[in-house]
Amino acid sequence: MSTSTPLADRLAAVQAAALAELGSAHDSAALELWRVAHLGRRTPLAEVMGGLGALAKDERAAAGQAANTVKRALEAALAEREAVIAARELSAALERERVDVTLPGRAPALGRLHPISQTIAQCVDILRGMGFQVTQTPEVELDYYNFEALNIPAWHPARDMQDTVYVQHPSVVLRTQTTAYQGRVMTTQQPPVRIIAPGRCYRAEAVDATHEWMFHQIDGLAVDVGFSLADLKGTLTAFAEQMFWPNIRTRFRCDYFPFVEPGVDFAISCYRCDPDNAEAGCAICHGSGWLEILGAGMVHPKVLRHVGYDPEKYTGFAWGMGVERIAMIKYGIEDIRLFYANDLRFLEQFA
Amino acid sequence: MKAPLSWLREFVDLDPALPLKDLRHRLTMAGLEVEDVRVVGSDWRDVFVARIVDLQKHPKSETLWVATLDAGGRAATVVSGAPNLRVGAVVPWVVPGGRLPKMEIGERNLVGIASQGMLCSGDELDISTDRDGIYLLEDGAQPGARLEDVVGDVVLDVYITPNRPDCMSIVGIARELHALTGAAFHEPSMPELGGATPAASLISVRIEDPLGCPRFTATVVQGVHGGPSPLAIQRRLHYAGVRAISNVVDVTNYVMLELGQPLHAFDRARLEGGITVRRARPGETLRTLDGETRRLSDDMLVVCDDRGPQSLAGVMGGEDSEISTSTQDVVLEGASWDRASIRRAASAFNLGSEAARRFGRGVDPELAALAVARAASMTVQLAGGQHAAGLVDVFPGRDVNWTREITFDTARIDGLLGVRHDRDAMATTLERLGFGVQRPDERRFTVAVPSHRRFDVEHVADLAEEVGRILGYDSVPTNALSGTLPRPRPDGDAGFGDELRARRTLAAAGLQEIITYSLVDHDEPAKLDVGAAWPVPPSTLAGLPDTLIRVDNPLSSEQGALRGGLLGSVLTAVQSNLRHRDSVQVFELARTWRGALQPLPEERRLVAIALVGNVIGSAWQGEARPLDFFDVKGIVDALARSFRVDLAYVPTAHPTLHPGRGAEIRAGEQVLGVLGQVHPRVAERFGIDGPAPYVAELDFDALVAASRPLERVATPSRFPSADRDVALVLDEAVPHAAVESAILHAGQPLLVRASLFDVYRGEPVPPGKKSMAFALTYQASDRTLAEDEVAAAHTRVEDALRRAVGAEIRGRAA
Repeated sequence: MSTSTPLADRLAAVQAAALAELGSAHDSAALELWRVAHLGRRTPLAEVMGGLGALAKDERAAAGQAANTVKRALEAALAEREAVIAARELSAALERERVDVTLPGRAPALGRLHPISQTIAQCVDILRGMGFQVTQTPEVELDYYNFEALNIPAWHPARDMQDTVYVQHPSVVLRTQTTAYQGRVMTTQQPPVRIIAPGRCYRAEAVDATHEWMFHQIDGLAVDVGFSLADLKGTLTAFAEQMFWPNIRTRFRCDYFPFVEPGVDFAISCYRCDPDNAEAGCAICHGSGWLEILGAGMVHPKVLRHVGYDPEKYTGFAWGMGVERIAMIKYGIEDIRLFYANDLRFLEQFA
Repeated sequence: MKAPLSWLREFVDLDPALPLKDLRHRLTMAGLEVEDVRVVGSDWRDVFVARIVDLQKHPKSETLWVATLDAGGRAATVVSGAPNLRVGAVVPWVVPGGRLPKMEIGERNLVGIASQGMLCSGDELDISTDRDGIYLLEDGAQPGARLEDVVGDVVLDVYITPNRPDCMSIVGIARELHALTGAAFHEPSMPELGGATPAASLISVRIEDPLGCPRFTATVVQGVHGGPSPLAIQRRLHYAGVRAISNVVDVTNYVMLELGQPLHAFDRARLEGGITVRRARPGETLRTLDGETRRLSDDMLVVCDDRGPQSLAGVMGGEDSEISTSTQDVVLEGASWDRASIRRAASAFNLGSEAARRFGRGVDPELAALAVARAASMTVQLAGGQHAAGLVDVFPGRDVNWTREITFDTARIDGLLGVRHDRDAMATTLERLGFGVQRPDERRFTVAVPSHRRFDVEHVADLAEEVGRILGYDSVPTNALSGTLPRPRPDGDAGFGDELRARRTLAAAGLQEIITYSLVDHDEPAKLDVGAAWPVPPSTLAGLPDTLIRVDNPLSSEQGALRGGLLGSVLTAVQSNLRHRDSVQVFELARTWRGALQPLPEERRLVAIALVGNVIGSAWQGEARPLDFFDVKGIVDALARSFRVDLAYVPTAHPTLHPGRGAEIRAGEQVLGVLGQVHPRVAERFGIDGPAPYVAELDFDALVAASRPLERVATPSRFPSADRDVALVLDEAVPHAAVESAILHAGQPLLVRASLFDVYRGEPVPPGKKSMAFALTYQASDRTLAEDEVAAAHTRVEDALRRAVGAEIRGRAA
């Protein structure tokens, strides 16, 4: 068959005219008009195809095929053009929806725990990971549990170390230390014991940048066969590394608390200074290289005996740490009074 | 305890090359924390010894002198107003350009004459407290020498823990340095008190209360001449923080600081008859050295003559028998007292004397004779006269024949310290501290406790500390904790987790947690307009006192009582924040107290919430709106939901609250607390202007008790639900709770949800009526509901609404 029959020429002309017209359709409405004009029932192509019946049978098949080829070409061109226009129209629509992303967001009201509650929760999480259980005991406490059971009878010189607020002298006090839970707990539990007690404490102290009359402590206690100062050091070091900063160095210094023997003060290395070569003017450690963060020691044999544990069989370690002190070190807070002034501008920083 | 190093060196041969920094560090690590070090003269510049070689009245001033100085070949002219200058006096002179602790010294013109530098008082140099004249140095001081080379010293200020009264002395600290460094230690030795007159012929002592006074030692020095002590002694006392007074008194203080045994000196002429030690009799009084007349009680120990009490034993002497410049014969007392009695007496009169501090912590009874003998011999050196032969030493406590031996397996020390120390090093350490050590076999030590450690060493744990602190804790390894975990405790975590959950729920609801003081003004309930301790309706307060529990020794009246509720504290915090912002949304969860002390009061956890200002919303989009009743109610509901507690709200006329905007919070029949808007009168009392805050206060213990455990959860239905709305018109007075309850009740069992989505008043709803619209959801867990099932259930709901709350269902014929 010749490539240039009148029919073929007509089809080519129809196709060329239609494609040329398609190129000037710029939106979906124009496209629909084009579809009706070129692929509908009454179109130049339909006209050509309508005349196919007049052809010879053998020519008719070839012509029909050619006409269909044109139709498919036009359909394909339409689909392609539709896709281009749809994409263009979508992007135009999206452009109209553009927002100023720098306008303020619509913030849900977001509250926070007080920094002391947050610090307690962090400490408790860490210590629970080491198998310590949590307990709480009364804040208004018997003098017996706060002092007597802890090897501090009424006349004891160690009473000088803490000024006590009495609810009713001499038997009812605002507890001066969370250590007061020890007697209550140990009399109801046999070793092994691993327990911590967070809570509020009170002392009749003058208030300044580092002293508050109300403050929080977390007291810890572990009793079993064979515990030593090395277990205490390991426990506190692991705690400090998680609470403060990694690669921490720790130190014991002899100190006195009536309910432990030996008694020690536990210090961590300053995060800015090398303890062996501390910076004289360091605002964190004041040039010592060390930050004393808590008092600790081996549970006094008299305390063990008092609760019915055999001090020849069991040993234990205990510590008490000031939550405010820990938070002050961790967050660089210079004045303890900020905690209970409840200025939201301070509290809201602990997000 | 302030310890001059020169004094310490009299008892321990410290290596002069040992740096001060190391000395300080080692004492501190061993438990004797050196809080401060004063190097005398370190805050001076160019202060020299000079001799006054000429002294003239200032030609133009009545009060000034012109002194010509010789400072070792260097001459100078200084103008001074001091009254005690004389030719030949040796004085401290600051050259022009020099410095004193509080001033720079230059050359200045004093009424026409240039003064080259200045002469200084002891106070200006901080080598004495005297500020009335120029410090006159000892004659031996070489003109031209630097002053610090004459009067210099290094003073360690050591914090002594209450368990170590033995270290409240120069000898005690020297002994520690001996143990720490190995430097030779010289025990103070007992001076021989020879003489013509036996002490017993001059003084008699009788102890009526041997438990209160286990030992009383005394002697007499006759013919003393009162006057100032030598300058070196005065300076030592000053460096140690004790004021020099006169030779006889200074000796008692000096010996106390040196040995740790407080002493008392009586003017023998002022005592009548012999000395008796006893408890005070009711009604007896004593005028003490500070001029106060003290009413004594029968638990106080007194030293009496034939007339009555002459001193409050171990605490303070009596004015009557006080040493004066005219005293000729001195009675020196060194005694031992019962610690508890001394502490009671000192605290009863709030007298914290150096003596009372030592006796209250424990003074070794073995010291008394040594100290009295040392004081007698020193008094003669400083004040002349003659001491009696020997001592009167009444020592009923000696019958006890005090000894203490501790035998133990040395492995127990390793077991406590977590590190094994060499046994010879252990023994040497203990011996240097004064313990006797015997080693009956390879494993064991038998340790004899010295008398000076009788108050703190009883057990092998105490000896472990001695070994640990002297040999150092740096060798203690860090062990990872191992071993058996404890059994669960019967009370779980004693509520810690509940509190944390509540805090986190409230924080998630947008509130900031605050922590306020547990002590409040006793009048706080009145400020909240409640007579009761706790601003919660009387139904929860049955049998409670209507006042707060007072504390015995409050820090101030604002902190005079245990708080019974949190609202007052929370409102105070709101008010202080309103000074710098418009909106405050806070809560506190804390303990409160009420009830009788039996012996402890009832301790109860409460939660309080306060909201004021606007909802935090996007202001530029116009979303901010004032916080109101339904904000605080929604938060309380959220809190209750997190504990799986269903709450109901009943109007209340609580006096703290707005009469039309207050509700009781109930769980079933139990009242958990209240919520509402604070009464404007109460808000004003708390200094809150503008709209009064919305608050809630509820009993957290009761909330937790009402909490249902989460035991079994339902599987969500796989079948579709059917939604229907119902709109009704009803009387204004019918509360939402009644409508909701009618719907929920009638819709059972297919109704799974009913939520109010509209409340409308006004045309076309008639006056006195309101329109409400609810969206209802019907669903079954085992099937798709048929249309007629839903219709039947919905009709039941509509019927119930007509019947129960008199509603007219809109869009339905009545």
